[in-house]
Amino acid sequence: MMNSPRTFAAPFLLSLLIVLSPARGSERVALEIPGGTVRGEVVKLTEKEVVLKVQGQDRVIPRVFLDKDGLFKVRKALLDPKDAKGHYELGTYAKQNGYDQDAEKLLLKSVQLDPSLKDKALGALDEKAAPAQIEIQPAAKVESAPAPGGGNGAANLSVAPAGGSGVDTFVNARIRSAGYSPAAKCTDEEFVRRAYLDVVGVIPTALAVKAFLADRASDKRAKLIDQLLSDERYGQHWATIWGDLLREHSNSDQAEGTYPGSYRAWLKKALNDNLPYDKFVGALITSEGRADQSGAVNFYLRDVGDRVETTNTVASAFMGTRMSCAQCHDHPFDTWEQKDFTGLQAFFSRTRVSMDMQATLERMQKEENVPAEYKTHIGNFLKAGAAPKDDKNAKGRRGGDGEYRNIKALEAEVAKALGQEKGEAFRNMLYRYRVNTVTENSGGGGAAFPWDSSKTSDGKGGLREDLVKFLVASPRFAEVQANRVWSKLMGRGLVEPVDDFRAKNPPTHPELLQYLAQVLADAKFDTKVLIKTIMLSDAYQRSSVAAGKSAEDTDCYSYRRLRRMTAEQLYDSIMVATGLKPGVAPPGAQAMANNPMMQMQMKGGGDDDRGWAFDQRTPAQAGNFLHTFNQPDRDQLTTDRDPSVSIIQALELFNGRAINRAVGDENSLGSRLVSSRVNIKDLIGELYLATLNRYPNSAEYGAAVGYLRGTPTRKTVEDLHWALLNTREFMFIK
Amino acid sequence: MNRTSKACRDCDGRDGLSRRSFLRAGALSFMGLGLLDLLRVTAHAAGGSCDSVILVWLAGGPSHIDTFDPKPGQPTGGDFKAIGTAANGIQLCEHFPKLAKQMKLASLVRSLTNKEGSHERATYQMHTGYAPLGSIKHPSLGSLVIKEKGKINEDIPAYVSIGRQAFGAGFLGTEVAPFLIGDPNTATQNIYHSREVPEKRFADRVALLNKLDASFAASHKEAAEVADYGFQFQEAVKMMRSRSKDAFDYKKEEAKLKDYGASEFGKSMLIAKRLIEQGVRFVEVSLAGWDTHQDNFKRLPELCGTLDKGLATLIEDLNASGKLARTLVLCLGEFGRTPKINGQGGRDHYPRVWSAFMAGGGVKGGYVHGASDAEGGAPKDNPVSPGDLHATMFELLGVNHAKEHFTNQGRPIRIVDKGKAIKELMA
Repeated sequence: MMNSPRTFAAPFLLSLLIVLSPARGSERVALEIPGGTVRGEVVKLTEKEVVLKVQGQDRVIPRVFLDKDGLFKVRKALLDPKDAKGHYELGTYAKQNGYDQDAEKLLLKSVQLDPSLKDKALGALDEKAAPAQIEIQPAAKVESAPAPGGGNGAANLSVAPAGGSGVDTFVNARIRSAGYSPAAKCTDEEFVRRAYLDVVGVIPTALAVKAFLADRASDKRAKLIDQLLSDERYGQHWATIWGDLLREHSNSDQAEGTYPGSYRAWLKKALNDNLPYDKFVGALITSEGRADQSGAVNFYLRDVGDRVETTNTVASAFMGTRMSCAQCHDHPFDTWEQKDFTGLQAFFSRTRVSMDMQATLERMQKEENVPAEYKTHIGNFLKAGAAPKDDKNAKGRRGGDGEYRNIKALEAEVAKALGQEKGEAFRNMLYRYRVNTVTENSGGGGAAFPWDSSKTSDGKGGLREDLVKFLVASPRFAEVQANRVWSKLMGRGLVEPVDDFRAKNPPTHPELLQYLAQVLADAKFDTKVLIKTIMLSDAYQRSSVAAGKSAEDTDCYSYRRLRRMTAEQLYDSIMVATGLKPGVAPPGAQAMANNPMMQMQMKGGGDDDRGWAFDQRTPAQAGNFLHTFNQPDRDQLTTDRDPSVSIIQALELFNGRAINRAVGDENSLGSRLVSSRVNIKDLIGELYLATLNRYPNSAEYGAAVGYLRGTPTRKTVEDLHWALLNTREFMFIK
Repeated sequence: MNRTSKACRDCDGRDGLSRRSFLRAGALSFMGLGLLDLLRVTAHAAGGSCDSVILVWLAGGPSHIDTFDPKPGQPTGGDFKAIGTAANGIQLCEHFPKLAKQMKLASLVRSLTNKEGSHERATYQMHTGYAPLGSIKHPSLGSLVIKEKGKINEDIPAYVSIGRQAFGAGFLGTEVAPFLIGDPNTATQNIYHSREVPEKRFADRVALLNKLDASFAASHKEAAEVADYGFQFQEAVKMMRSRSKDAFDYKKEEAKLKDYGASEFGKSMLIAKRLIEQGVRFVEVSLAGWDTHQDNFKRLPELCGTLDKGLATLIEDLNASGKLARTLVLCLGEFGRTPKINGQGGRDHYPRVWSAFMAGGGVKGGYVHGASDAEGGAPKDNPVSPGDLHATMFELLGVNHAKEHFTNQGRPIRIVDKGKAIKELMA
């Protein structure tokens, strides 16, 4: 009704008539764009637009109107049949994006055209297949796992069937006993928005909403969940959540000797690779080496090897326990004693963070900012073989005192040759570009396992390895992760706060917690299975409007708990709603994530940086959009975002640069709609769909038409988009 | 967080208007006028010798011995000399020459004592009166003051915090939360209309917004967070319409920076003065860098100089305008520092005894309450707990600090847990 494709198909007759050499036998393509399908021959593809020849006329389509499929079609059509490299590149792209059949054709063709590509192309073909459907294991045998420290007793879980409805058995029982009634099932419009924000951290595009609404399949919600879980933005969104928990930051202190951005890049990759949760925790805790070799070492670099901080982080993030009190005295409300803290801390007694001289010097050699005269000295020094391993004093480990002495010798040499002042500047640069390494030495003792300090580790198999084995084997391990994921998806932990598991703070739904932990453990710690299990439940898919007196419900999940978007969700969603960012991660993002040197040039994170929120530095500085919307300082341990609202936030959305530039940009959805002279009805429908992910009701439609006074101008459309972005409906996740 | 609960316990019986009904009214009129009228219904504590408070927070915990409680001649006395002040018999560290001149207007407490030695915990406690407790977010002093005393100027925020972080409203809800300014240089960010969106166009936008916001607000009127947001939006609109917002702009009195200091702190203190003049109830300004585990004596002269200029000029200006009489200026950090000077020429955390500086708002001038022992290692007489200090502040404001507020779960929390106002400090 609102979006009749015909009316929108009004010509995108823009003045850009770029005459190119006639497309060589370019194929005809059919592209789905907002408002309908366009058929024609592809003329060209640029960073901003696609040009199609439609009935003899060039038609310019903004590139952001294309989804992944459309873009792929265009690229395929433009491929020169003799271009081997082009075939190879598009083939790998196809492989990575799940176009398996195309990938095979393209890659084989590339080998035909250029036999030297054989190994590469066939290798690419064998690489990991497109993400498979996530299977949910039936939770057949659920043994009651007593919580550490005398838990909740055995529960009969055999009644819980597989999939989402397992969750509902326990949730519904409690709703009934509390005398509430469950709210209605959420609409498709609500579901698609909710699912996008929860899994990939950003609202869907208008196109994605339309596609979802048009899908008649009965399992379309499940399919959407799968699709989102395999999107690259999944890792980005959940790496932000983990970034809070692990206090990842990129405004790092130079003492950390790391590569800014390497921590989040590692987290994102681990999450996108779907590294099982036990392996994920293991990789962090047992990490060794340098940040450019394994970003996981940032777990230690973050606190420059401070064991107290590491212990607190492990306790909070992986054990669901607050230990920071026990660091000075016995825990006032729990059975934790100071000796538990020292026992846990001792698992890190062999872990050392120290400077890797060779790596530091090699990094400086590559740095543009390091003056050539320093580089000469460094080069000579490295050539002379003054590498740490040659140094007797290094005591067989890198980063030992030997290195320190070597550095001193180099500093002295530079100061002698270039004078005191430059010597000092050189020393500062050494510090600025220092590369630290995490090593595990011998010795250390007193490591006692958490929850039972009478059990100790001799560390023969590695102290940290012992700790990981113990943690993973404990029933608490899966519960903590299950509770965290539940809390992120449902707005409240079954144990709340999520890092405060203790006898006197029992879960609201003990059996449900055990069930979810079991789902996770049965899936071999595949967190995506857990996410899908929860999202398929009725509990997840309820409306946010409470039924009758159920509005009083605080922890029974009888209706959907409203949550405000996080700073990152809000920022990115404004970018997607205004069409300034496509709904999927930009190409090249992955290459950047893997290249630590690229991280160094990461943008400053001002509001005028149109990257994703994820690409901005953390913690954001005061006055920055993300800071204003409560991004945590990433210093203190936090498990959840501060939900408080402020005048400053309102002012940011009224007058802030981010929002006003987004609606005012010439490439903004609003101005594109105006210049394409789409009719008013479709214009309003498109703005609603792109922003609130639904069509307007008649009152809203009337208000919008009234404001536009019949003829939309850039200014009035800008105002309308501004108003939609300022509604509370935009800010809250229904 | 969903703050809906079975029964409203947040009604203190005096204003006769529960937070819930208050918010519900707010929810229905996103930016309408309904809420304004409701605000006026709310009765607040009257009386007291003081209307407003400026809390000057010295983050990191300054060494009491090297600031407000000098110990000349003691082996632990450090590198600095003590100087006399305008108030007979009171000495300050030599790096406070300007404050020394204002000492007739100010009092010192030299016997503060506490147990929390970690920054995070002690800072939380000194700002809320309570040790951190996972399940409860306690309201800060500023939020409590606004809750009890209400606004003086309806148009601009009643509680403003200038510095990196602010302690918020806790369970009291966001209508008494601070307006946080991270950097005084950008204090006016977003409070003026832009050239592209002047007043008329902005008003049109807001009118349209009100219409488009209605359906969601109506279907979610029970949700406190939705109402909270509406309230803040309305406050923001009010602020933009008000002339008083100029108080946030230190540039309007830029010449004054030569006295306040051109540092961030100097600018913040100048803004604080302007805010108080415009009827802001509670202002916090923080100055960080006092955590001097190393090189205490190299770092303090500059820090003390920054504080000296800003604080002394503020007191002088408030006194000149007559505002000091009803404005309490309170300056302290989360703890003191050890008498012992460590191997790196620094001093470490020390909550056992430290000092606070107070002026105006009904506090005596030229008076010292309590004392530390000869070394500066323990309170010698009249020990003062954080609760005593807080109770003193509330009593000056005419607030009954034994009153309880209720958390979302209905747990009663007293404004000041344990504490007795120090009558001797009051003029």
